[in-house]
Amino acid sequence: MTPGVAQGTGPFPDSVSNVIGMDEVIADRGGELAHIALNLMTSVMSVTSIDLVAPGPRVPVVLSAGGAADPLFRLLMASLMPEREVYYIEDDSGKPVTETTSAGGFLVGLENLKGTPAYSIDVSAIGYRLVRSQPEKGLVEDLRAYRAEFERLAG
Amino acid sequence: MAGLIAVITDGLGSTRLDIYDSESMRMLPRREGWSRAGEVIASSDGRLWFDWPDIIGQFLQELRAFERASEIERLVPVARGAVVGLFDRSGRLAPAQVEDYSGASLSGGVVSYFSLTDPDTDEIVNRMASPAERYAMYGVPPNFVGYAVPGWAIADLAALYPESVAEAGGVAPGPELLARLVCGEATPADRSGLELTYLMCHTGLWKDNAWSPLAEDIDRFVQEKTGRRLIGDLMPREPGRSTEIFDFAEPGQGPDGSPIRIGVLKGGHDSTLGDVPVVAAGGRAFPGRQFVHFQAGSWGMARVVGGDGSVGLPPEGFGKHVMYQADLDGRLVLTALAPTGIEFQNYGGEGPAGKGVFLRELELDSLPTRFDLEKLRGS
Repeated sequence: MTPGVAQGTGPFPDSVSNVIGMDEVIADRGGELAHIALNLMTSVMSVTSIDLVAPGPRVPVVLSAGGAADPLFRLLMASLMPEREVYYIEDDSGKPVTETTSAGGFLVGLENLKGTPAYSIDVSAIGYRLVRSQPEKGLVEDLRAYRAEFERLAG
Repeated sequence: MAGLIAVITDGLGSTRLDIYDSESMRMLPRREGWSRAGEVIASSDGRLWFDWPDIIGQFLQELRAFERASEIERLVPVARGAVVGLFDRSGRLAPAQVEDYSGASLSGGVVSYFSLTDPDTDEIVNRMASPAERYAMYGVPPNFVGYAVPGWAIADLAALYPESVAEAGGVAPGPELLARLVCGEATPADRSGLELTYLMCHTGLWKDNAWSPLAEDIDRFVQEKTGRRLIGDLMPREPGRSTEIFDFAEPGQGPDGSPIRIGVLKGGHDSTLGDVPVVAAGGRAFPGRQFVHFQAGSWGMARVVGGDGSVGLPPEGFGKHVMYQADLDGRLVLTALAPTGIEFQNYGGEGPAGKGVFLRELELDSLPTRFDLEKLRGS
């Protein structure tokens, strides 16, 4: 799959929406292959964005928001960047944290109320814990090739 | 007694009211009515609007019915980038009514979201197209996403709707609009809630504690088109900060009859506030080191945070999707964005245009979240 819904933006601004092998994707009636195809597209776009700003290949990455709740997205991100440490955040019930924005608003409110600077609040108190996503070694080379082909097709 | 803190988070897919206990540091369980899908309303003149007044009205009603409402001490409005609106001279969102494509008249004021297509405003953008020039002149290269820049949106408003701007009481970015709606709208313009990080994040208007050359360009442009000044007229002379009080909301009495009085903060921009707990967590996990916070939402935002706060240049230069934004303290945050969630939703989710093509073709309500590793290898 190549992106193109929001043409002119993102790391592939000239890309045109396309699904190569659409028949095969929709022949998988449970939608599992569609789920995989979409995650391959979004993870390659994500990794490309990270490379555009990361000041070195060994800078760690922390995933948040809705995508971080999907184990496939986490696996692909870690396997597309095996040289980086990739983490996501769990709450104390073991669920991935997807809404750090709301918690950020809370910490800003707390700073106003109690005077503690928002960035220095101990977030273990709100139950946050970083969890490492490990790459799947058997996928690394295939994903490297997939990414190269994606970049060729998406421009 | 533990104080409660409420947060209204405006997202592309939904707008949510979350309430936290400041002692236990935990969010209270969400209730029905504390989350609502946003509606995009296309008006007959081609502008897009969001139904914020309705949403805020609903949340205030929910707060009045909440048995612990009188314990809420602060409310923090958090808006996504790009949302900007006009308000009239009495402080109400303008226009008060808008007609949608079906001809229905929507009242109560709406919040607009502008797409930039005017040649005059494009010229201002194009003048800054060289990264070297942007960096040299502005220090903070502006967000070049087009419609995600309130600075451009103001220029666009002036170009396309000069009479509306000439008659307006002012313009305001998202967090201020939310704060105004919560506080009853009729907040005098001289108590503007413009806040620093918002300006830094999505406008490039404020740099080194002063209006930037970009702001001055837009100021001149707006004056030519409307006779109004941007600086010190449509916008105040200087912004405040996210953590300051904007005003107090007094939505009435809670179910126990006690009065509700909530301090409403100036609030902030979603990506900036999304970093805050992650920076706090990462600071402990990677002491002294920078890391990338990747926010995998409607927009995938890769943001370099943490460490000693030093900021470098992007390895492959700036672009429409690579820019500096800012943290709560106004420090630069190197950011790249990609419409990842938007692409995902378009194929595998449900949006204003209906179900994505995969859902339609597969006759599914949603895609599965499970996956088979062997199928992944095969794909």
